Amino acid sequence: MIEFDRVVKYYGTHRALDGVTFTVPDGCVTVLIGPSGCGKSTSLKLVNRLLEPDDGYVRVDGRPVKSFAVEELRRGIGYVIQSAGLLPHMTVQDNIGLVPRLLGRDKTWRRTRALDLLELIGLDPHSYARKYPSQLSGGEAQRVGVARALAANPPVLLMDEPFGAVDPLNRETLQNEFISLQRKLKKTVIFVTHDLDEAVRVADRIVLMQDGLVIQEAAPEELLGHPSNAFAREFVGTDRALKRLGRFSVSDYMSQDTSRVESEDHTSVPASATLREALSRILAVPSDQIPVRDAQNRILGSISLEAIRRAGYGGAST
Amino acid sequence: MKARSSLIVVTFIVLFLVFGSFVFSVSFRATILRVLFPATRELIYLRTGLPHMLGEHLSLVLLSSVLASLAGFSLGVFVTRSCGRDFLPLVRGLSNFAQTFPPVAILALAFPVLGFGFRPTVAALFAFGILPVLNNTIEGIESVDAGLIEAAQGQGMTPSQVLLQTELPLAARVIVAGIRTSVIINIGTATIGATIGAGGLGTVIIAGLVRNNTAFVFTGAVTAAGVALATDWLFSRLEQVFFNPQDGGRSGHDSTRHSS
Ligand SMILES: Nc1ncnc2c1ncn2[C@@H]1O[C@H](COP(=O)(O)OP(=O)(O)OP(=O)(O)O)[C@@H](O)[C@H]1O
Ligand SMILES: [Mg+2]
Repeated sequence: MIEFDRVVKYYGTHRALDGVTFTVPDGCVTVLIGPSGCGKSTSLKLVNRLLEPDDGYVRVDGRPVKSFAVEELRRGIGYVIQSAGLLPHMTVQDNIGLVPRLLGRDKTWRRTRALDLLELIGLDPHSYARKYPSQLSGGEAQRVGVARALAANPPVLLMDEPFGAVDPLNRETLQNEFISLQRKLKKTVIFVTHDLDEAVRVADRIVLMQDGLVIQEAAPEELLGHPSNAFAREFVGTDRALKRLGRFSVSDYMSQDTSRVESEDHTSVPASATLREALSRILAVPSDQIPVRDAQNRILGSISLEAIRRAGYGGAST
Repeated sequence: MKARSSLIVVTFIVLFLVFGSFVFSVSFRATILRVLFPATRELIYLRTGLPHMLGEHLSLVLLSSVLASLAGFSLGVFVTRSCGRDFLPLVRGLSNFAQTFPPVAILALAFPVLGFGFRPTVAALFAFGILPVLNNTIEGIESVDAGLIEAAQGQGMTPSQVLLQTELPLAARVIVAGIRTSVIINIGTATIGATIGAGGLGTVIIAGLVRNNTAFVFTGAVTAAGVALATDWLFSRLEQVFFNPQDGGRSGHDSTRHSS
């Protein structure tokens, strides 16, 4: 668990953080979101002590970060930044093996680990291990950045707009890969973004910030359903009810009854899709329900406009 | 491509042989000078042999350049550390100011203090050779992306690991370019050491100027130029070997990788 406790940070006379308090529970993704300059990156750097607070405490597992030897602390926390931050004079393999090397792991161990991680992040180990960062695409570099952060198997990951420099299409792929990776690894993640759709997609919890203050700390459904003030309401936008539907899975709201499905209708939705997608598809057909299919294209049941409305109601009403 | 590169190699070998013969064979030198300066009676400077002057010249340059490179590099590293950063503006200002000094002035200042001969010349060359190395070390390190350094720190590198494994490898190319400039300048500047009795290739040049003997001036100048060109070529080879283009030419070590 990571706690921010009334943290204050100045840059000269500029008060970048104005008494920030929030909690990051173990094993889930906490997204820091807010407009540019609100103090997201600053908060992140206070965790691995690239910055020191002027007041208040940052604690990891109840221990103030100040009480750790700084290099030790950092080697135990994975750090991923927007431009990937790979060292250009080292191969992909050496970049991934960096923290293990600092921790004294031998060459064979590091190589095996790098190849395993490349596999894990979906890059062919044997063609990528010896490449240099300049030979990678933006998306590949970001993947390698994630692999490097994971190399020493740290329990905590700090990610500062990790997919910010990637084009929208690739970004979504990376987000999905990250989500399934996180499902396996269950790291304690602080994820900074200013993209609300990204936050809604990856977050277990969202901390909304403005001008160095925490405005709201909540589950994504809660933030979208009940933004706590005018700023939060404006930030989540007028389509927040739709965004909120993106948090719910069709499989949880479908009816198993296959008898009502019109078989001549070609429109259907996979069970793994979100209610937002289901709604979009229903709106494109004359009927108010469509079949739900599994990955093998077998019909599992149906999803109705009514069910989607019921799921979304909590969010749409405020 | 292949034909061209072998042509270059042949040219180099020929040039090398011609230069070597010019320096080491008196009769070969006399033949060439006779063709170039048919009116001159005294073609060969007899007081000191050319190989001997070349040796003096090289030891002046080698000693002063090694010392200057070490000093410039260390000072450059120091003023880019957190403990030395306060001195950065001062050192930058001083070195920009010092670069406007002509080397002769430094020599003139050095010899009343250190006397005549080898030592004051080495001192002057040293002082003058520091500047390019210092400037390039500072610029090379300062040009490393701050975000990259922060990323390296964020992975848990200690300050000395950041220096040795991130900043220096990335700045190496610029630093080596500074050393190259420093050495090349020193090769030329060392000729004026002869005015205060340091020996070197300046000896024959000055003798030629005094006696109005262009063959002497030519002998010294051509030999110094040859040394400068050879050194420059050596540095460019070194850079090609150590900074392979694959990583944007920024790798300062491990040059054994295949280049494709
Ligand atoms: N090194 C610095 N020196 C001075 N001011 C800084 C420095 N770093 C950040 N700031 C200021 O502190 C505030 C918070 O910066 P921070 O980088 O935490 O913002 P952010 O929320 O990450 O924004 P973005 O979404 O643009 O990355 C901003 O107003 C910024 O201008
Ligand atoms: Mg930021």
